[in-house]
Amino acid sequence: MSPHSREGMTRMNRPSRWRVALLASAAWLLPVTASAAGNEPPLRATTCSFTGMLDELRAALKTGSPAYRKYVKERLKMAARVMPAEELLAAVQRERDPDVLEALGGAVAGKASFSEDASLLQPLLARAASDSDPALRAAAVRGLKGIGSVDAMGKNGNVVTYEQLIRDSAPEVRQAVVENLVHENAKVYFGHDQTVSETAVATALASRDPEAAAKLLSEVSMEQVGHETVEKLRGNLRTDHPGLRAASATALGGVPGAEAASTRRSLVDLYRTDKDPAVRKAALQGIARLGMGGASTTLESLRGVAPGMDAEIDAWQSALRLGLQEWHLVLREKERIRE
Amino acid sequence: MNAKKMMYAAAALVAGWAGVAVSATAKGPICDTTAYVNSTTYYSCSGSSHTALDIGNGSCNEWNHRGMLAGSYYYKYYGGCAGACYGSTCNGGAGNYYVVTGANGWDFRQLHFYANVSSGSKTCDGCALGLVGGTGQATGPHVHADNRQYATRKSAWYTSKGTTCGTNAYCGNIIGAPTL
Repeated sequence: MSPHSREGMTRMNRPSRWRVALLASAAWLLPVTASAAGNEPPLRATTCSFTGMLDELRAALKTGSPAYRKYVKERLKMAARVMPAEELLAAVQRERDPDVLEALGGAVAGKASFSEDASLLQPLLARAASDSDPALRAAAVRGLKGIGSVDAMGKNGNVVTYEQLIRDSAPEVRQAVVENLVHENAKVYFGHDQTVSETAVATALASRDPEAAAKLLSEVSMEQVGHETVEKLRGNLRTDHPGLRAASATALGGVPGAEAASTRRSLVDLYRTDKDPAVRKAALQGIARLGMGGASTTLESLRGVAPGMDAEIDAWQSALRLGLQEWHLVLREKERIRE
Repeated sequence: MNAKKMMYAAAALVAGWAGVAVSATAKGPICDTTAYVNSTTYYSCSGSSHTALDIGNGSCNEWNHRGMLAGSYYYKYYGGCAGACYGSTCNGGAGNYYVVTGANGWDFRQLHFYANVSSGSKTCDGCALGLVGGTGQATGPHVHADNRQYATRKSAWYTSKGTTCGTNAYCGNIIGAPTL
């Protein structure tokens, strides 16, 4: 077995290869800019530097079009992969503009994911946890979006965690935490990762913001969570906040098959005893999801318990009778029927 | 999808995690400009059915075989095969391989790794997963990449990008749009 690749050895011999990558990115832009410029003076060659790239990023984020903003952020990310880390991390530590910090954070996060070096995230995590400006704390959290951030926080000793960040006094920080976890669960792991799902539940339970907690519980997949987490969700069905009870019922609908029987009993009890229509609606959804085609009998047994909800039961019965095999299709059909 | 169906799908998403498959971007797996696609829907583009991409640069146990998906994903590793450049029967012919498991039965696989210190399950973006090799059913060292739903290989992910035999598969080039 060879510990190093030829590609890797080549890079070690050429430490400033990032400058070549950056020049290539700039060259790619040339024809577009030239044709769009019309009578503008011709482009002039400039020295390629990280400072120059940062200045351009700052200007683009203030006045550039959405496409140009996306371009400068992507270019920074690609250049960050191969440039020395020190200059980039120093910029993360001193940046005072939230938009620029978020872009720098995204570049550092991308570099950490590419090079599998989670320690690169430490300056970003420090700013997320302790910057005095809430806008900058939120920007630092948003910088972590789209990577395996839960795993990376663990590799940094869980000195900073989402359970800690969700208790931030600033709503924009809490919102960034929720968006990171929902995105990571759906787009990095496609709902299949136990650690991310359980972190989302733990973060929701640590939150003093019921809206943030409800969004986490209702939008993160529970397909891999363990028994202990299922018990925590079940306990949350007794919370005072109806939105949280509904979100917990929605979450319980997606727990692993081994937990289905006891969870179904909890949701049936919830439907029979809770007076809130939104909670009852979520309980029915959870029952339908746990049983799919086999949920018909349970749903029928609840008819008349809350006469105002019987139309909801009818919609689920009709949707389940279609025999659709995938949950998102069943859910879509039920919404269509309830129109 | 018409506007009404999109509206219902959006309403369903708001109603909880639903796991709808999405399109990803796949780049070449080898950061060498001499890496080319040499098999697509048919082996060598004229042989028996294949429905996947085979990519090589004529090397074995030398160049990194990188994660092809643009963005961070979880690559689950299935190893245990001794290093080989010209084939073995290990892991049902897949050799050392990785799977990114998406929604609704979709997955993306990269096969035939020559394992090294980089090999193992990980969440990363374009990282080194091992070396280009020929473990499993391989007549020579190459990267095999496929996009499947419920274990059936699909071709749209590379045909949609015009990728065919002779397409350059350098790691900076987009060569597919797999569903996950």
